[in-house]
Amino acid sequence: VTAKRSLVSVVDDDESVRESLPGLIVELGYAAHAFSSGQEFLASDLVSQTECLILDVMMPGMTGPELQRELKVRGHDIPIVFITANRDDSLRRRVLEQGAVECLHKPFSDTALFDALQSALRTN
Amino acid sequence: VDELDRHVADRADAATSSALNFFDSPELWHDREVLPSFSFLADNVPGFLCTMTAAGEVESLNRPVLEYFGKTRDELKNWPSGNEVHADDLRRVLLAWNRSVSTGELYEIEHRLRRFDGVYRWFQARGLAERRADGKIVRWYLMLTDIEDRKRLEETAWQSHLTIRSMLDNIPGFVHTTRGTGEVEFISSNTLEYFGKSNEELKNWSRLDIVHPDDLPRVIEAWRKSIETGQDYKLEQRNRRADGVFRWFQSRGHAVRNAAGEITAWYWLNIDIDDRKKAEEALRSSQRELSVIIETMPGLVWCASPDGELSYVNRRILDYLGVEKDSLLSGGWADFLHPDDVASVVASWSHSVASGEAFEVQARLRGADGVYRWFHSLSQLGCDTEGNPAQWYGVMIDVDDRKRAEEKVEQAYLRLAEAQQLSKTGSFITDLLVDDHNWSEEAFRIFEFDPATKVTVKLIRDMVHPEDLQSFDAVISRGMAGRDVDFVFRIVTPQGAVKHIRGVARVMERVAGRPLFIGALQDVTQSKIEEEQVRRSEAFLAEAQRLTRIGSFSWRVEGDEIRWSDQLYRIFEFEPGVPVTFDLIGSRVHPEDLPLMSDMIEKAQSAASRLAYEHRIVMPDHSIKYLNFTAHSRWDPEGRLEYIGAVQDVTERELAEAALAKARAELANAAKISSLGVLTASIAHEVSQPLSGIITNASTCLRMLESDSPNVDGVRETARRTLRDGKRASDVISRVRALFSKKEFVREPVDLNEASREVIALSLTDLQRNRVILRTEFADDLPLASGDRIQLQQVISNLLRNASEAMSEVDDRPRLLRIAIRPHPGDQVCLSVADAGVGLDSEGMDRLFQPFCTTKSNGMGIGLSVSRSIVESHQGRLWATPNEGPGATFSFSIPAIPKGVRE
Repeated sequence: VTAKRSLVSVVDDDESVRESLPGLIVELGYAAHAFSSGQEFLASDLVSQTECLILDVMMPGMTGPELQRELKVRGHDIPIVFITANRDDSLRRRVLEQGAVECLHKPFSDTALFDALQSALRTN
Repeated sequence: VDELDRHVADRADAATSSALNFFDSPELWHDREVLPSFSFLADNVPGFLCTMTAAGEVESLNRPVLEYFGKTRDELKNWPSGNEVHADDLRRVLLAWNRSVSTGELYEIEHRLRRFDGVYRWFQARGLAERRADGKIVRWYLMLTDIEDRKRLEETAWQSHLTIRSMLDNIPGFVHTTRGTGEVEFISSNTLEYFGKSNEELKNWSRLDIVHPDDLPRVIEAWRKSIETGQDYKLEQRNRRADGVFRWFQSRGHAVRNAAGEITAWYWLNIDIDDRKKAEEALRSSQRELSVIIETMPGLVWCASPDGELSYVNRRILDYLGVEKDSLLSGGWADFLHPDDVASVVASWSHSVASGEAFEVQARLRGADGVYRWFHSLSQLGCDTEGNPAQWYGVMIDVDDRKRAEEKVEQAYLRLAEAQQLSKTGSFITDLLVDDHNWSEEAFRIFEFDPATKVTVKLIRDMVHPEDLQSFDAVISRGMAGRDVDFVFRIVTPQGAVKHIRGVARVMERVAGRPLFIGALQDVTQSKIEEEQVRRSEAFLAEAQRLTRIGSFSWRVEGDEIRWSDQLYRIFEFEPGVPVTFDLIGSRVHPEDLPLMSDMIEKAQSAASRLAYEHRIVMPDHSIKYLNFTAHSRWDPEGRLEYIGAVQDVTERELAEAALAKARAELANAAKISSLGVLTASIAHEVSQPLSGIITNASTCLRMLESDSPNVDGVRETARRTLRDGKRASDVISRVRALFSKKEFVREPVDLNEASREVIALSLTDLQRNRVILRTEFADDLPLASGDRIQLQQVISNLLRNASEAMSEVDDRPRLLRIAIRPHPGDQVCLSVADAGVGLDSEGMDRLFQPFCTTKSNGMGIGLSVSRSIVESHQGRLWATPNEGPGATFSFSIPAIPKGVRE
């Protein structure tokens, strides 16, 4: 409890995800915070403390890849795990090329998430 | 005159008195002593004496007798047979002498005796018989006295007496004389004759009724006064003529005085002045009449002095003007003349006064009632017998009615001319045989002749269209034969225009045996053109009816008079011209639609303004035609109810509509299917979200439970979230099921906001993939729409997809998509989707809603047309408008449920 947990931030416009995912992440041993859009995340003071970002691909306004691009522009090299309801392999490939750690298709298992987080935090 | 008689008598007495004295003393004759001396005496008396026997024969004669005759005693004894006694007197003398001889009475006679020298002289013969004591006549003594001088004097006096009498009887007056004291002395015979009275009667004139009773008192008084004073008498009085008629006389009396100044007599003269009196009376009466005439004649009469000063006005003038004579005479006409007429009247009057020329003017005078009337005023300068100007005599005649009548006539003439011009009708009077034509202005205008043109048949003929010359000539020869004519021919004007002239001419009367025509001619060019147009439009109409399969009809309800156009016969497949009856129509009407026909007839009986039915007819080949029937009522000029209507054969449309409905259903389905792939992705996305949540939550729960000290609260919370997500997933599924269900059109209250949110939720993946920024502007208090929720959502989905795709190639600006929902005027709800895409050109707009037209590179392009069909089936409207900025806006509106009906 004394050891500081790594902060995993979740950005998704879907309420179900925002409600459920942080609970699981905490159970996996990390700290978690959910945001409903990219703009909300960028505007918060948690960007620099975030060690991993779980990011939805399709969002109104700023999409996941756009936020990825924006963070890169701003010099925040945060490992990103994309999550998407879209089973589009070309999309997965594209985000991984852009430097994403993983791209998970909804619904995904807790182990898949854990692996992805571990792998992301390792790269950190 | 009597005096004169007396005088004459006196003279005669004096001449014979001595001789008479002798004879009157017979005692002297018996004195014998005296006798010798008597013989001597007898011969020496200056008289003629003779004695005669009792038998009457001459006995003795004295010397003067013998000397007078120049004969002897013996010669004279046979005197009756001699020439001594004047032949004219002889008979009278013998009668008297024989009578005296036989009776013994005094012999006395005057007669002429012939002197020795042949001259006859008048003698008075007197003879006395000498009788014996027994009375027997012894002898006759005769004395002859020369009375020639007396006779002459008598004759002269008599003649002058006769002259005076004649004069008095013949002067144009009645004369009489009275004594100085007034007793009547002499009355002329014409006076006696006039009164029919005798001299004696007239002496008491004042007691007779010869003077008119009304005049008698003053006559007597004047007469008495004159007799008393000697003053001349002069009076006019009426005297009664013998026949009882009174006549007027002027009676004058003058006193005659002797040297001593005493009145010895009155001479009276009565002159008949009845005619003069009557003439005077007539004059007075005619003057009275004249004055009455002047005062009462229906003209205003006035006089003015030669220098123009008004001197007399008659009563009528004063009555008309309502002024007093004096004020008019001093003030003149000026106050009463119409202001517009003053100048001309003054100028004209001044000219007449200066020149003496007759004055004539028409002017308005204001009457007492304040109304101006027109008067014709005439005046002439009258001159006296010497030819000097005496007086202006003027008369003014009220010509107001005539003036107004003239104005009316003038107006009527103008109106007639105008009417002729408007109706393009000219009139004429023509004497063909002498080629004399009297044309109205409009007739000249029609022929474009100068009004001064001398019209001739040849002149007209020269204008006649060559093709109509034959008929024109026929008309002329018919007219020449004195028969009425109707004609139509064309003329060619100098400008080359063709005019159609129609006319008619009737024999009005015959002048000198020649027919005189009165007629009218009309420029009917316009109506000819119109006729042609009507013919053409009738042809057009027939053609249009044929093409559109619309037949027309009229139906006069009273008497069921039905008329059909040719096309209607074709639609019903009846022989053209067959009389149309309801029985005939009924034979074609579909048995199931027959009640409609009865209903229609019933409505028409109650004069319904509009009739509209869709019904079927069955053709002989058992094919069915769908007819659309409409009619409107009208009242014809006779006030009878009539329906005018149209019948359209809509069989093809009906069939086409059915086919269209089918195609639309198929298309809608195809559209659904085409969207399926997209929808599948959406569904997957939608379902995967809650599903993802469920799995995550389940994992969390498990992990929590696996811990040494399970966080029960956390587990409970996580499980609750899991249930929520499960519900979400279930909703998605049911929505999809609804979308794909084969439900028929259901009309229900729809909350467009909510329906749109669901569509947005389903479309979101798609939108996000296209990087579309979505803005929603949903009105809060939105009325519910009425319609099929699923179909409407399909439209919304389609619009969103189109908008998204329209922006797929836009990279230089945000791909902004705005959905707005708000109430729309007319109890409607409107939804609009605005994109920032490539936009629309106006050409594209029209094609946009056609099936298979698309601006997109992929897709079937069927969405918009189906969408429009859906909206229209909701009695709504779908349209597109270009944005002010980039892009376009697609909107639809559909009826809302009125607020009161919502619950």
